[in-house]
Amino acid sequence: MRTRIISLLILILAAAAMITVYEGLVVAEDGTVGGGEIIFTKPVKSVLFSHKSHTSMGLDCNACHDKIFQMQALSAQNKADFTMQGLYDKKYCGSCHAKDGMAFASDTQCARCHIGTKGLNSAPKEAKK
Amino acid sequence: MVIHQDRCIDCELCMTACVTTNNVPTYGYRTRVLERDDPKASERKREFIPVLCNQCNNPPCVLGCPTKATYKNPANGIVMMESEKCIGCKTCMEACPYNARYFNEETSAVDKCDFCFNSRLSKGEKLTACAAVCPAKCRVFGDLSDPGSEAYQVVHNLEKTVWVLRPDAGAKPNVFYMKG
Repeated sequence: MRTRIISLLILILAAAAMITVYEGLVVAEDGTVGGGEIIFTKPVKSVLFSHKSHTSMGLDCNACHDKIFQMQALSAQNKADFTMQGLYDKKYCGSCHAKDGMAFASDTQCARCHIGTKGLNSAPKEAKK
Repeated sequence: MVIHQDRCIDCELCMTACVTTNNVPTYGYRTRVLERDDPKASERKREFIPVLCNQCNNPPCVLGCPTKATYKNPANGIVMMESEKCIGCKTCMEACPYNARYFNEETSAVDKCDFCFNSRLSKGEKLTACAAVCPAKCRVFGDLSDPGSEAYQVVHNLEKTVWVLRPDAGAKPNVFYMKG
């Protein structure tokens, strides 16, 4: 009886762990590699990060994970320095999106990432373009 | 007020600040952020436009009001509401070229942006709630008749194009828009 309870407990724990990992990966709707579309909500609403548009340019997972961003989606937005100033200081997106970086600077083309609060609903459609 | 239109990211912190500062009900608004998509644009495909009462110099709402519940304050130029005089005929709402007014069910009067005059400016604050909260410094608030104010200087900077919304309405608005 006791072993049965223990094995049941282990099973439940394993299931819980799997769910956590699954949440962390955020599998894209169409099943492509990468974490799908991430929409940050802090410190301001509706900032889009598209895995697809980044991986399609030839970046692999190691380019950002885990040094710049943890695998757990949205973990960055809980950090105090996840701000525009932080980006200008070459943290997070600013690692590449800087004046002398490999991508457009963080202080240009605002609406490419800031998709707007109303854009939250239309985001997946936007990202598929 | 001068609005640097391309700085707006539609985070809607201005709307939230306005609602809490001025007790705006959920169905109403004093300021909003409009959006439009331009697929042909080379870089920025989505555009946001913050809108609010333009505090016009020739306000059609004031001309239309039968009870003088809405009037232009001669001291500061703000188009104000005197709720007690409002009979809810909504003529001002029809007259406004900017759709900047809504009917407040609680006060049974039309409500609109007063540049936070009642909630902030009359209490010594220098900025409207929306201008104060904007993280992108999109809204520049100040006295357009004071050459020392930032708003005056931005509007009178000849190197930049400044425009108003719906100039054809002839209302002579006091909210100016620019990019850059």
